[in-house]
Amino acid sequence: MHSIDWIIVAAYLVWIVASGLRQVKRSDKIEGYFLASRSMPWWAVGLSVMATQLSAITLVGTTGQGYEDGLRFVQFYYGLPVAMIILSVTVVPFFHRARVYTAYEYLERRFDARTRSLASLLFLISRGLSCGVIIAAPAVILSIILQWNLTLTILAIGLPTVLYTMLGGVQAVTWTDVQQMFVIVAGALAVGAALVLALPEGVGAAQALRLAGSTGRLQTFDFSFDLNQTYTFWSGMIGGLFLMLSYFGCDQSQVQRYLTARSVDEARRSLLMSAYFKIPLQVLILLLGVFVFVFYLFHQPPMLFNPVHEARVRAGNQSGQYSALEGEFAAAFAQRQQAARELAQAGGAASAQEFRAADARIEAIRARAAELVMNVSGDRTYRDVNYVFPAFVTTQLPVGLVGLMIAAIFAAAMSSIAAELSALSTATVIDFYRRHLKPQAEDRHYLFVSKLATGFWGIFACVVATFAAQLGSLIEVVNRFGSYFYGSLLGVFVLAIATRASAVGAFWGLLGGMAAVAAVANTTNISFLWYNVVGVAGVLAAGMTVSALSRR
Amino acid sequence: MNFEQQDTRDVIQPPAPRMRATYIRVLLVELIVLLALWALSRAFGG
Repeated sequence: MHSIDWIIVAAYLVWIVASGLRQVKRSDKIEGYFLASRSMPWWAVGLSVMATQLSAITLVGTTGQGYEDGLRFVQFYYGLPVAMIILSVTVVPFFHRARVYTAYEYLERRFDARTRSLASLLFLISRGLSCGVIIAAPAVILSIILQWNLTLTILAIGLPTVLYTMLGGVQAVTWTDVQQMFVIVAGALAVGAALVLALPEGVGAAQALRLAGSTGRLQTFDFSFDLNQTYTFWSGMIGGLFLMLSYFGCDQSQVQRYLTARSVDEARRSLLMSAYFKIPLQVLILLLGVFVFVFYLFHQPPMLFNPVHEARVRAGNQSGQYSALEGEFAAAFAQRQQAARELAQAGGAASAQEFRAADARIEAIRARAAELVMNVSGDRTYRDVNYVFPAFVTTQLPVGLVGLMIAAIFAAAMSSIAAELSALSTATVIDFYRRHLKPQAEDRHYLFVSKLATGFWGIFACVVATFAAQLGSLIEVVNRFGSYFYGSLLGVFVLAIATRASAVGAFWGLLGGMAAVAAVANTTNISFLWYNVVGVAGVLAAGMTVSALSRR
Repeated sequence: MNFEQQDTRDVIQPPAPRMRATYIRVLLVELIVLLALWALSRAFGG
């Protein structure tokens, strides 16, 4: 990286930590530390909600998704506005009036301490591990693309976040989230402008969209009802609806966001901000990937975007085959470039068909190159889609813009991690330490323990990140565990709010729901987005049955 | 609030007219956004 880009990234880190530390004085009691004394304005909470959900994995992975698959992924969020409305009507006013610190506190009032502790424990395990994954994923990518030391990259992302979250509490989290959202959106818009400006002579934005559209990259509605397909209209509207209800209604890292709002109305407005802006924001990020695809129609891309894997193949016994493939790739690129120009200038069905055929040839060569990587590395799940956008940013953008976008990736990671650390600390202290170990201590004592808990979870996340970076499969394990848990947790809250299930029913219902999801996951090819529906159904069935039996 | 004896109506209260209008607005905006995405894919092929 150029020194100017380094300065931008360093300046961003110093600025954001300083911003967070400015909140230390306002967090001198645990209600201030965990809930900002319920004083935050709706727009700050709303931006914090969006920043918490927009991790670096989203920023890097979604742009890669846009490059490879176009806008189809946006269907994942079609259920979100409906979910926000449902939550605004149900849990938001309810949690606010109940004056809880954690979502799970309510479960004890409704059921018993056992159910509360189980739900909170599952949250701690799944979020604690996923926090490590949120650090690991961008750290691995940045360390490979920029050739940074992996451990130092993990620490560069994790330690500043731990520092301002530990000392500044949820106020630091929220106000830094607000600033980080501006950095992310500014970075995305700047890169978007650069991509449009980089289009060659005679190819405007409209022609670029036509090129992308001819390969199906602008499709945003797939009405097929295929449970094995992840991104369809139905999986988004139904499966995505349940996922969003669970994530925004039952996950402490989001619930804590709107518990900080000044009033029920402001809490609702903060959630409805996501309802308005989340889908357009996702379209913007996906379009960046689509325009990177168009960019690489006119500038030869690398055959593989992960330079480490490429180097391993070149150094191995398949280097001859790889070099031959590179020759084919260059020739195929030239053909696709020519076909793209013809389609952009003349249009027509014949040009579109020729262009699609040329694009398919390129993809076939990339698939063969990927096969060589799989042979060398032994990793049959190899894909380089997460490296497309970072590779583009670091090799094609002008000085300054590289630094801004790297800072945006840091911002996306740090905003998510901070919220999760704060939520982990809250659940640890409120649901376990204060509830079971030391129920009658002074506020000052709990504040001290809360800061220790934040520091502990931060270090835990950095350690998990170090392992996750080396064991790619751990990321998948963590995500799977999360998907078993989310739908079941939503089911418990549905049992709590909408039925007269007993405490025994809720406890065994939660376990039954997770078992149902595990059974479906291990015996079918149903897309993970449906697991939440299965989890809710499993919990309701098991919970209501056990409740009825326990009353006899 | 008596959580043990709670009635669902304690938790889920019908939205006030002002909030109902807000929720309808949210759904209308989503519909407009989806229509815009559909128009985008229709206009540029694929």
